[in-house]
Amino acid sequence: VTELREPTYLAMVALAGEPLHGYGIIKEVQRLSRGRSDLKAGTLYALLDRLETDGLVQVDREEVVDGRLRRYYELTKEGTAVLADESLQRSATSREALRRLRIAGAAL
Amino acid sequence: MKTPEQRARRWLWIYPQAYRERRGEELLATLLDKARDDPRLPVREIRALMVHAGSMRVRQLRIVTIVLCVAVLGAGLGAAVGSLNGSTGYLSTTTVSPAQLGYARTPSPFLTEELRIQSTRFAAFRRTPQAQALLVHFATPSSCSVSVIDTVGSRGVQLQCSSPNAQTAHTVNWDLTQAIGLMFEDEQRATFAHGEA
Repeated sequence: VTELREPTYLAMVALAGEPLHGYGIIKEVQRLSRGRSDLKAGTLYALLDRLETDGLVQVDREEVVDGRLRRYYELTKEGTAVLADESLQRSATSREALRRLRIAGAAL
Repeated sequence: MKTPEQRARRWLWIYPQAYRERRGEELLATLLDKARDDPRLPVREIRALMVHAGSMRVRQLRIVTIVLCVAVLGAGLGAAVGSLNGSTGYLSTTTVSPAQLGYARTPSPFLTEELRIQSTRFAAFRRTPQAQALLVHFATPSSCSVSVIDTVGSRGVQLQCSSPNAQTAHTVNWDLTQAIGLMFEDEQRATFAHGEA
């Protein structure tokens, strides 16, 4: 995995807390992005397919609620490691951005 | 007026059948959960479904194209080798791997072994109902026999087919590749369904 795009990254962050089903991931991504990211179902399942194929996400369990199948996903060990690495990189970039903005006199 | 479920189900039909069987009900549940917030199926939601379903169909097409290319190349190579050896028959060689069938991005000894078992079963039990149905479907001539089936490391399974003429060897090897691919997919799907149940 060379790059995690924003929706993929947010979905992985959502799964870092606890296993979630499709709609749960969508709601959590909305919350994490403060409403800026509205994950569509087609986009969600495209990225879940990719993450499953890459071994970063796996099915935790299945439940039937109101006659509807809910499949819960969780991060694998490799997924957790990839997310941690990506988060550290993003965090370092953010710190550097803030440092430069302070030097430039931006009001933060 | 259509219910949200009817609308969502209609759009799921744009996905390939195999994908609908694997994820259809789950995808439907997610769409219906979203429909509680907005009962219409927004245009952007439909667009995302179309893009995803389109990519699934392109992927399916790509696998068929790769298998076709390998079969044609293998048949050509086999015929060439056969004529160089001065053999009275024609030999067509094809390599099939789980990756070509869309099941493993990296070499997988386990899936290759599964594929080898399917191939061996097909060669050994060509009179089983499943094999017969596939043979009828692909109109394979019965005069050809599969002489060698072996694994190529952990990458794939090598099929060799000899026949009195090049066209038959080519056709049979192509049919075999298709038939074994379908049997392998059925087996994987059954295993997946069994694992889910």
